Amino acid sequence: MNKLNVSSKMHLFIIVSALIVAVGLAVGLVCQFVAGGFFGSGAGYASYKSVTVKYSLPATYDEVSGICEEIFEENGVGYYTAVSAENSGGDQIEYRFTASTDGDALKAAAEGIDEQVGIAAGLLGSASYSENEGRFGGTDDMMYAGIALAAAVVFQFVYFAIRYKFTMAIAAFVADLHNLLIFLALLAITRVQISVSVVAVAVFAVLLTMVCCGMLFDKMRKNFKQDSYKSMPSFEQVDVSLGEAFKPVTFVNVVLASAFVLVLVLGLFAGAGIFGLFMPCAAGVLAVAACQYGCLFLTPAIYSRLKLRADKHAASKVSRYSGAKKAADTAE
Amino acid sequence: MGKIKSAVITAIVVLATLALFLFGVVSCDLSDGVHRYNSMLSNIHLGSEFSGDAFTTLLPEGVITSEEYSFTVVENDEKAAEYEEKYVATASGAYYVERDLLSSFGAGSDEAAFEALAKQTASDADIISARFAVRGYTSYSVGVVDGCAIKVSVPTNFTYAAYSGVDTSSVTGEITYASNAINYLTQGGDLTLRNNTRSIGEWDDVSSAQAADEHATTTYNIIDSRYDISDIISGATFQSGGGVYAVKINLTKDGMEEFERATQAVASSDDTYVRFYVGETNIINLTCESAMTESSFYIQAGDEETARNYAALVDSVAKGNVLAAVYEFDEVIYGTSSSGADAAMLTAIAALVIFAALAAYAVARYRALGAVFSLVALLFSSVMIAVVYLTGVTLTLAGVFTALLTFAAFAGCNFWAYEAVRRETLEGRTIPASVKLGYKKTLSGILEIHIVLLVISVMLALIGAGEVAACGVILLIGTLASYVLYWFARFMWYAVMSPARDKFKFCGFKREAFEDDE
Repeated sequence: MNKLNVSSKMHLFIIVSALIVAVGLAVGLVCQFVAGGFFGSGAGYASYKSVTVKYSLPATYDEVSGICEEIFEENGVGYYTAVSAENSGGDQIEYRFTASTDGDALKAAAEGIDEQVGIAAGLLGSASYSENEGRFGGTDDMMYAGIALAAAVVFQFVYFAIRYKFTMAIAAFVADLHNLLIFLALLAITRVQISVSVVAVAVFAVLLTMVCCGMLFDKMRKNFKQDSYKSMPSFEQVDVSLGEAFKPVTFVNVVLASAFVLVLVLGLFAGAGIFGLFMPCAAGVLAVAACQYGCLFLTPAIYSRLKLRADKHAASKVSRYSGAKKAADTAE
Repeated sequence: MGKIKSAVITAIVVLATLALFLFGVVSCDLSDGVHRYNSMLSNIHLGSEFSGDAFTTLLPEGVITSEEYSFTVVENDEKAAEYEEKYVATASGAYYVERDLLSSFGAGSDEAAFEALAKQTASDADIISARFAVRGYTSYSVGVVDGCAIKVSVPTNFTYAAYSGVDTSSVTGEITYASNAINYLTQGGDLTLRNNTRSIGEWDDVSSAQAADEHATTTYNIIDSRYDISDIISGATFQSGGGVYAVKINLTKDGMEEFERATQAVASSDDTYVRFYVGETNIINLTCESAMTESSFYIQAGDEETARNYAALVDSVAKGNVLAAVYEFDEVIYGTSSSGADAAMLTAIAALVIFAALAAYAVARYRALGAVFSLVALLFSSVMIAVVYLTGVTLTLAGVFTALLTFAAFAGCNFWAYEAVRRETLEGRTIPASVKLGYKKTLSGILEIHIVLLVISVMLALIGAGEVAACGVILLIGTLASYVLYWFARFMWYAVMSPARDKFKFCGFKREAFEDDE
C-alpha cells in the first residue's frame, strides 16, 4: 500500500491555499480599479476596438487582407482575431483589437486601408474604425448556473452525509468551496478572460470536485471497514486510503487536463485560428489543477482532522458506556 | 459461451459499432454525384465559438454610417453640402449623427450631446441584452459602438455541414431565425393591446401614425388610459408541450378585471382579435370568443423560436423596459467564428487524439481486454454523437468538455473495475471468479458516481440556462450512456474472452505463482 503523508501537513496546505486566494484577491482588486474589472472580461462581453473593411469584386480576400496586414504593421498594431463575412454588397473582414490598443493608430490604419480599397482607389470598398463597448447580459445565466450549482452542492452534502459519514460530507463541502475559490483566484491571477464558456468551466470545476471526492471517500469508506485499517491511527488510515485513490482520481484529471492542453497545443500550430478557444481551455487547465490539488491534498488533510475528532468522540462514548467503574459497582 | 456464439456476437457488435461510428462521423458525396451524405456529427448544431455569429448593427433614427455618408458626399454633389451641414461625425469617424438628434438632448454642446446619446444608447443596449438573456441563447453579445449604435451578435447555430458550406439549405433557415430574433428583440416602443374597432378603443400616438400611413390599418388602444401596461400584465413566459409552443401572459389583479372588460367588448365586435403591439409593430394576436376571466392565458405561436421571441419581448416591455429610440438595421450577416475559422475541426481532432491515446493506453495495459474496451468506447462515442444529434442540443466548447468528462468517467469506471479484477487474480482466483468479485466490489462506488452525476445533470439541465443547461443535458446523456455501456463492456469482455485459452494473457494480467506450482 502506498502511503502519502498529507494528513499531517494540513497547515501547509491551508497556508498555500490562503496565499493563492490572497494573491488572487489582491490582483483582482488592483485590476478592479486599474483595469476596470476583477476578472479579465472575455469574448461576448469584451470591449474591443475594430477595423471593418468592406470590399467587393474585383478585390479579393487575399488582396484586401494583404493590404490590411501591411498597414497594421506600418501603424504598429496587431489584431487578436479576424471575422470574415459576406454581406449583400460584397464581403467584409472585421479585425478585432484589444480595448487597450492605441485608437489613433487604428484610426490611421483604417484611413490608410480606406485609401487603398475605397472609392478613391476605384474598388468601391471602405474601411472604418470603431469602438465596441461590451454590455454584460449574462446575469441571469450566471444566477441560474449559481443556483443549479448550489443545489448540486447541497445534494452532494446530503448524499454524502447519508451514504458515507457526516465528516466526509463536511470535507467534500469544504473541497467544493475551496476548489471554486482557488479556481477563481487563479482566473484573477492569470487574467484568463471571462466568457460564458469560462462560467461553464467554473461549473465543471465543482462537478469534477464532486466526482473526485466521490472516488476518494468511497475508497476510504470501504477501507475503514477492514480490520487491518481499524488498528491504524486516524491519520494513517486516511493517508493509506489516499494512496490507493490517488491513481484513479489523477487518471480522470489527467484525461481531462490533456483534452484542454491538447486544444491549447493545437492552438499553437493554428495560431490565431482558434484564439477564442484559448481562454476557456486555459481556464479548464486551471480548474483541473485546482481540483487535483484540492481533492488530493487539502481535503484529505482536513478530513483526517475531522476523523480524528470523530474517532476520539466515538471512543469516549464507548468508554463512558462500558466504563470499568460502572462494572465494578455492579459487581459489588 | 461457445466459440461460434462468441464469434457471431463479436462480429455483430463490431459491425454495428463501426456502422454507427461511420454514419456518425464520416460525410461523403453519394455515387450520383449530386447528393451528399452529411454525418450525424456534422449535423449537430454548434455554438458560436465553433460556427460563428449572426450579427448586425442597429442604428437609431438620425445616425448613418460613414460609408453611406462618404458615398453620398462623393457621388452626389448636390447633397454633399446638405450632408456636411446636417451631420456631425463621431469621434472615431465610423458614424455620422444628425445635428437635430444631438440638439434634441438639449445638452448645450456637441460633446455633451454625444455623451447623452452614448448614455441613452448604453441604456437601450442593456435592455436589449436582458431580452436576449431571457431568450435562452447559449451565448450572445450586445455592444455599444461609438456611443451611437448597437451591435448585436447571436449564435448562427449552424451545423458543421452548413458552416463549412456543404449544406447550404439549412443556412437560410438558421439565418432567418437569427434575423427574426434580432428583429423582434430590438423593437422599440410601448406595449399596447389594440383592436380595429373604433368604438371599443382609444385613439393614441400609434393610431395617428397608422392613420398617416395609407398602407396601414388603424388600430385603437383597448386598455383604459388610466392604466399603464405594467398595471395590466405582470409578465410573459415561453411555454411548450407536446410539440405546441405558446406564450403565457400573466395578468395582475387589476389586469384581470380590465382584461375581462376589454375582451368582452372585443368578443362582441367585428374584429375578435386582441392585437399586441410594441410601438407600431403588431407582434402577436389573441382570438377572443368570449370575455376572458383567468389570471393568465396562452397565445400559440407557429414554432419554438417565434414563441421564445414573443415571450422575451412582451415580458420585457410589459415590465417597463422600453427602448428610448427606434432602431433599424440593414441586414443580418454571418461570418466565420471569432474563435477561429477552424475551431470546430481542431476541437474534433483534439477529441479524436484523446480517444486514440486512451485506446492505446487500454491496449498497452490490458491487451485484448483493452481492445474490447476500445470497441465499447467507440460505441460510447457514437452513441453520444447520435443522441446529441437526435435531441438537437447545441454543442458548445463547454459541451464538448462535458462530453469528455463523461467519457473520462466511463473510462475511469471500466479501468477501476479492471484493476479490481486484477487484484482478485493476484489473490489466486480464476478470471471468471475474479471478474465476478471485482465487479461486485466496485459496483457501489460506480453506481454512486453515476447517481451523483445523474442528479447533478438533471439539476443543471432544469435550473441552469443557456450554455449551462445544454451542458446539463449532455451530462445526462453521457452519464446514462456511461452506466449502460459499463455493463455492456462487461458482457463484451465475457463474450470475446470465452474462446481464449489463456484468459490471463487475454487480459494482460499475470497469474500469481504459488510455491506449489514451482
